[in-house]
Amino acid sequence: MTIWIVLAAITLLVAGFVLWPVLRQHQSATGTSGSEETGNIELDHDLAVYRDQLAEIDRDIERGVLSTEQANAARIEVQRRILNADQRIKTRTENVTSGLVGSPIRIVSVIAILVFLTGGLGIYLDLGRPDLPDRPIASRADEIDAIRHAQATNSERTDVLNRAVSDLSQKLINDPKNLKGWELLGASLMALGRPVEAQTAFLETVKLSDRDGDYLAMYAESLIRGDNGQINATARGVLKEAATTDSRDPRIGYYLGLADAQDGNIALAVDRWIELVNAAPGDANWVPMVVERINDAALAQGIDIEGRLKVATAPQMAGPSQDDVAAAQEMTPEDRQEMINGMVDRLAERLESEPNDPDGWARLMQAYMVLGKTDEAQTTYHKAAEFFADQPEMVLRFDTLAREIGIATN
Amino acid sequence: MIVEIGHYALILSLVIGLAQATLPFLAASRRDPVLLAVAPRLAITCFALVATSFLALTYAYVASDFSVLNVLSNSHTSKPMIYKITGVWANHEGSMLLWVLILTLFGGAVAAFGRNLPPPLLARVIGVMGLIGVGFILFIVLTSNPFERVINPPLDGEGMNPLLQDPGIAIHPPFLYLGYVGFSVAFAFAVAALIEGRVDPAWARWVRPWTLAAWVFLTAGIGLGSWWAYYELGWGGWWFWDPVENASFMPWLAGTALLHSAIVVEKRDALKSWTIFLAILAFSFSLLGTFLVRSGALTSVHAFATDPTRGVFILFLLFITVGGSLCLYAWRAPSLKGGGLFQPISREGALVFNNVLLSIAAAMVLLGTLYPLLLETLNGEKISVGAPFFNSTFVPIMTPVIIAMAFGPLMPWKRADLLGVFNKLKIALAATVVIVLITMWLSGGPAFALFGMGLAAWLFVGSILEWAGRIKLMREPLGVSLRRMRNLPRSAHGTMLAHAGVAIVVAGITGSQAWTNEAVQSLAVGESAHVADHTFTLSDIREYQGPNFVARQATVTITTPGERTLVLTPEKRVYTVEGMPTTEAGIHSSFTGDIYAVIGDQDESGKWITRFYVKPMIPWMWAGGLIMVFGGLMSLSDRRYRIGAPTSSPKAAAKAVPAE
Repeated sequence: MTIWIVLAAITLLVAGFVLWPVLRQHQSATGTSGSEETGNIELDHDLAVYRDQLAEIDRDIERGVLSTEQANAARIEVQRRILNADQRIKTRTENVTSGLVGSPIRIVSVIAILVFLTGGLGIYLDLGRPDLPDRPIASRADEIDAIRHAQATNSERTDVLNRAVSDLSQKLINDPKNLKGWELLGASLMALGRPVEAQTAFLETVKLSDRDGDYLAMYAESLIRGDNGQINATARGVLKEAATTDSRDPRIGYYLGLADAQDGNIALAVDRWIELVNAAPGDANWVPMVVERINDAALAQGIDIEGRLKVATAPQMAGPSQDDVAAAQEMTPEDRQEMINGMVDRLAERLESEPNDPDGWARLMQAYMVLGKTDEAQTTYHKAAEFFADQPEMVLRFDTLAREIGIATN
Repeated sequence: MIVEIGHYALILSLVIGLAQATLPFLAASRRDPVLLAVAPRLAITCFALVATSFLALTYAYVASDFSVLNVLSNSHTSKPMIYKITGVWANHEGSMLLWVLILTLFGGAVAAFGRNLPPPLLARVIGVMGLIGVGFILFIVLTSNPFERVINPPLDGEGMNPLLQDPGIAIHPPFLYLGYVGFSVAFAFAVAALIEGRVDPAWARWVRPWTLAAWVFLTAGIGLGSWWAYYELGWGGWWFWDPVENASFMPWLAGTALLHSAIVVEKRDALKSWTIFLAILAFSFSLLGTFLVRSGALTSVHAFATDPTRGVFILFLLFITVGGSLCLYAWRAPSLKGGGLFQPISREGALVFNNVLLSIAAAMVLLGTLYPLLLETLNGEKISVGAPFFNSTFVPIMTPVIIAMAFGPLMPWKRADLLGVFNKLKIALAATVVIVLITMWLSGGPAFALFGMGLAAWLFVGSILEWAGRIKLMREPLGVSLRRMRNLPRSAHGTMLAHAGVAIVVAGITGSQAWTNEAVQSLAVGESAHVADHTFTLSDIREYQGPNFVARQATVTITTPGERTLVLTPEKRVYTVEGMPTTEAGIHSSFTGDIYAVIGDQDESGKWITRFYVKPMIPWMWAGGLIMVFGGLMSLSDRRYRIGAPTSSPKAAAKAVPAE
């Protein structure tokens, strides 16, 4: 509100200052006919200049820089110019119709200036962002603290994970048949960004579980991460084997699709991913990420996926009611976006007061990523990791999710 | 809120500028006294609004408000405060805002101090300034808005080109713009005179100081720019005939010509049409410079905007302004009556001679700058027009200018006696011969060095002689001379200083071009190199952490031929935020010349690549430039009316001077 008062004050000040001569003229209503006043403006000014020049010559003589003779020559020069000017003006004023001085032109001018000022306001409303406050760095100490804190928790988390890795390694020397232990070790190593070491751990789980599909999927992922995201022959073999099991791990379908995409067969990849998404349980948190992949690929390759996806492309929110969904279908894209934003904001607010909701945090991270708000997603990730800092499994979960959906975790 | 106030003020300045570009013309043609009184208020308001906007942007930089896109892209919290402030104009959007700020400042100043001008003329001048202003403010608002916001600002910015984080270059753009834009005043007066169809006597009185002020700033700006290139780029060069340098040099040449022809208008009431043409030319060159820098036609440190829409917009502005004013000139100039005819051998004749040569020089620079661009546009061929072209065209044109510069001030107005003037210059000729002989004896050449030093000596002694003659140095007792010196108009001191400054610059250029010695070598710590009888020893290498950079600093100990020991500390810095390296040369300046050391990277064997230069006389160049600036300021402080009137005989006049 204050800003509008200030802008209005500036506008009034400008209008008042600029139009003051007109206003004053109007008030005193003297209405002197300007024609006599202006007819000889130039001549008056010229003569004033020449008078000054003559005075200057006198001063120069006093100061001794001009000789009398020089001064006389200069005086004659000036006098000749005066005569010329007189002549010139005389011929000139004959040609000039004496100015039509009167209110119409003044009124038009006043209106023009007021219209211009209004136009300025219009341009500002179009280009300006009066809703955005200043954000000087000094006023953002809390944000900086939050980031610092998150970084601190992050390093704390790394410590926890490192300790878990060394504890587990110790335990597994004495108890090498502990399937859960190997799985946790592999997951911890993945979270620490050491996928090649994780491969050994996951290979153990594959052997111990008698080539269970879920463990094959984990092993495949560690192979892919270890090869910088490339799906090499080994990983492909593992994935194909996993696909023959009854595992419902979405990574199998996703990475098989990615393998197709890496072979250049995008259409096949999209088919696989659509199948994967359509078979997914309604609350699966990885769906938005895959949907985004599908949309990107479809857009880039011009593949028509209209109607093939059974889920909404919007992220799965906490409780969009039946009515919400119905309403969403009738909305314009802008309104729909607005609604999604509203739901995301509600979720964020709820998590502030009830943070003990890991699924909620995960959904919020994904929602932000889908909406393209990577900074918020990162902040959410840090907050979640901080809240669950004493539960390595949870930390692991957020970490894995963050990596999957592309949040920077450092 | 401050940022948004700045944005609003900028937009209001656009609409007020629109009013300024229209109403004053109406007021002047209708001769309405009330509306004529509104015109100056529009110009002053426009300035106040742009100043508000500029201050708001400066605030955003100082407070590191990264919700402003411009601050986000060009600043960083770890930057020292001075570079936060200079960062405002170290980018395209901010520098355009500075450009407009200076334009409206001049418009406002003309309005505020123009009470002694005839109101219709004042209104038209303000109107023309308004037209230029609207074009540029529109350009800013539509294509280069510095107030664009970021909704979720990051916590730090992207930093600023470290080459520009330097005190010399920080003040270079404001000076340059004060120069460029200063010519807009002369331009506005020229166009207003064309519209009016008459040149007021007050006209020249106004045009000369504004042109002089612009010239002073432009000279300082160019000097600072070349000084910066010299010490910061680390190549030891100071002028590269780079198109962007030429872009500032062309208005300087045209402005120098304008300055001198404005004297003729003021003193002799003649040469009006030509002066108006030069005023249009000088500002057109300024606009061309702006276009070259902003259009993306060039790539260099200066060329920050590579958005083609911006280039097209500026090209359009350039076309309208230059084309429009030249058409107006073609249409109206014939109706401007010139003053009396004059003799070729006279002060005004000499001024015209120099004017014509300066204009040809500007045309040569224009050709050399635009030809490669044209060729590239036409058939994609990239050619480089460099120093050889400019040296072989520019030097022959400027040589007669410099020779004539010694004659000009000695000639009386209206009619002069060439032989008589030459007689007065006998001492200068003698000095020239002596200097050439001394140069030959000391250095043995090369030929161009003898020529350049001779030229410099001729002009220097000639300029001093003219001044000494006016105060009757050596011919009257010292007391009389001192009194005459005090009474001498300050513009006469200014002329002498500016011309002597040129002579010193010529000497500096000649000396540094002819006798520079350089050596590039790899040195381990403790090893030495020899350059021109100087011993350079790399004594130490250390690393240190600056406020926003890490630096490698070398200690170079130099033993001069005179067995003096100097220590230089050249650096190589890497600015951490931007990840860019810069060179900080170690320079020792003295009257005789510079010793210059640069430290580079390590070679394969672990030695340090070093470059050492011994550059005789190079500081003379900047000293000369400074003296020119000082001369300009001296002359600017002289606000007398000038009437050039002939006297029958100088001797009679001399006797008539009364002793005070």
